[in-house]
Amino acid sequence: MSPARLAGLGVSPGIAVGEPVVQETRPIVVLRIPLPVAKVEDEVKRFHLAVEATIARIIENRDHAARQMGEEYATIFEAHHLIAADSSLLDPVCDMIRTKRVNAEWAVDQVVARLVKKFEALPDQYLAERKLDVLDVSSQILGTLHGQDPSKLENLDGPVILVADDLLPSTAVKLPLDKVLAFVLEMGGPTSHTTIIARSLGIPVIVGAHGACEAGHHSRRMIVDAFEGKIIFDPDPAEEAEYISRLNEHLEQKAQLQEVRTLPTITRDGREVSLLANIDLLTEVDEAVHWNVAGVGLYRSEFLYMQRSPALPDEDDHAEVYRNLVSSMGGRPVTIRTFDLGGKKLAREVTGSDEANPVLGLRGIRLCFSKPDFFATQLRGLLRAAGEFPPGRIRIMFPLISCIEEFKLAKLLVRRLTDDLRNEGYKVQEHIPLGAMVEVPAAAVMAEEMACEADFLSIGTNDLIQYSLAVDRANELVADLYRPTSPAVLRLIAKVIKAGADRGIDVAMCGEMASDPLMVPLLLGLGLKRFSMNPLAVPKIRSLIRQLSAKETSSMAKKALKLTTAREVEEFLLEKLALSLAKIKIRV
Amino acid sequence: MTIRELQIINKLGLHARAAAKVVHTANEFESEVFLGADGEEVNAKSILGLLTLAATQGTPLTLRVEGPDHAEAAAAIEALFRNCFGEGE
Repeated sequence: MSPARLAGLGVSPGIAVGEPVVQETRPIVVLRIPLPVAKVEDEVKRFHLAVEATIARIIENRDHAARQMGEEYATIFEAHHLIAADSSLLDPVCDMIRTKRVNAEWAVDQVVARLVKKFEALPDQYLAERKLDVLDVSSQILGTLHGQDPSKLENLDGPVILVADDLLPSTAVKLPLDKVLAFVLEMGGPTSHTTIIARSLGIPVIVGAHGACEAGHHSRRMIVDAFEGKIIFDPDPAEEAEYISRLNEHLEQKAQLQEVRTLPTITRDGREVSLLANIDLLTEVDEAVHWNVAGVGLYRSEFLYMQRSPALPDEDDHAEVYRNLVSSMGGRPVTIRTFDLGGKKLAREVTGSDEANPVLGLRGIRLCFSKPDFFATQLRGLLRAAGEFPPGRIRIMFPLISCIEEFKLAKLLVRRLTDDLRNEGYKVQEHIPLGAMVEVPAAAVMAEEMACEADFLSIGTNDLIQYSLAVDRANELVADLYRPTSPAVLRLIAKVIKAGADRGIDVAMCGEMASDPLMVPLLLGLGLKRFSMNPLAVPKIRSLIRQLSAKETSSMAKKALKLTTAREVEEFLLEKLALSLAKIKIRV
Repeated sequence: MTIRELQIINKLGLHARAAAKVVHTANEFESEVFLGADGEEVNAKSILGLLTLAATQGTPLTLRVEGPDHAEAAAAIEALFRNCFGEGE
């Protein structure tokens, strides 16, 4: 018989191979028991005692979680504490016991059912899932009323894979989590608290695995691949061996990547490199700080507009967001790109018209100039926030600069607004660093002149490649012509890096190329010192750079620049880098 | 009685942790504290009430405080909203 397979949603990544333990939460059957009038107040008292005992248990859970996982996770139980003490729950239950003269269990069940319905109707998935917290608390109260001790899982003989229909966070936190290899849940979602707890401990979780309890009952071994959302029950030995070797590889890589968290980004021969974060949402900042980036190389401010759409952010909104961003980066410089709408992003909503060729149309800095009020609002917010911090914390970058005049105009505008703000009594930076995105080939060709005007440059490779090669990567008919290794693109990039070095200004790269393991050594060899990327890519790129020698990559880059086709460059890089990439287990 | 207009500026809206902070703050005062949105008003000392308000980022809220220490209570709640419930976003 071939092994049973199920699919679910992997919400905490990882792989596990082991023995399943199935835990089904059988709901307590609640009966309606009518009470004589004389017993009603006793019943109310019984309910209050059960609530008190539940709260005591929640506090115990809280302390347990705080010790095991840190204060941050203990707050989940603080919410449970508040729910258990909430008058919106307690008052209606007492009312019902008194007016309907029923047992406390029945009253709890009825009131909770109403509350759950209310939560389920909420439009926000996160809030709707909070019904789980209500159910968790109410099942604890019901358990206490029944005289139950909900602690049967606390003495697990591990290591096991826990398969459950649903797992309440209060149960999850009491588990000996060091003995749990993975969770497979039939219910639950990506933001359920059990998922959050597991993720924080690096335990793989698959949710939405319908039928997992049934299959788990009949199996002795199972494989959980939470990267792919795959579950395999009673695998054949060959498949199990394959997963075990993948698991080991994954663990080794993870340990290695954690190691570089606080290590400097420096080549074998001592060239220091700055890894910066590309940030869209403020929620990504934690990840960036965790991996110890040198700053934010690109904050895409257009997300501010998309999130608030159709409302537009005002000056205070801008200042507030940038202020928060700078504060949470703890003193590291933050480069904020003015809104780069247009192209495909929101073009019509903002410009109010359809363009035949939006990618070559009103976008980037052009759009900024065409909406002066819009642009001034953002710049004023930026300048106000910058004035509140020491110099250099906020750097402003203008997108899609295609000629020197555009950059000069933007500079002029900043100077004028700075004067306005100073006159209005705001504290301002007299020389806020201003930079240009180099993503139009014309700007790259004029790199020397750009470098004379700008305080820094940042190469946006996605657009630079598409404009240089006249290829829309999203168009399947021509997608294979989109080649980051194109010698034409490389020569443009080399020109920009050299122009920056000659003028003594920073050059960063914030496109996808900056986190491409094959391209990073080449860029390093071309002299690039600032790489901005998704924070999640930081550990991999840092490990890679620590394997490289600046001197070797430099002679490699010289040779690569002489090649004539994208294919030659690619093959050359693969050959040169095979060893370094294999060392950190990167497959290209 | 104090009435104030508030706005939720943090990204996640009035989520569980933020709501818990509102309850804790409101509980420090004797006054009754209410928050209203879209014509619905809930007791700010009730986390369940606050959560079911489903107030997302940008939602305008009306704060109503009644009782002996209404001014202090209103100021404390307002400060909490202004500093994004101490969560920095």
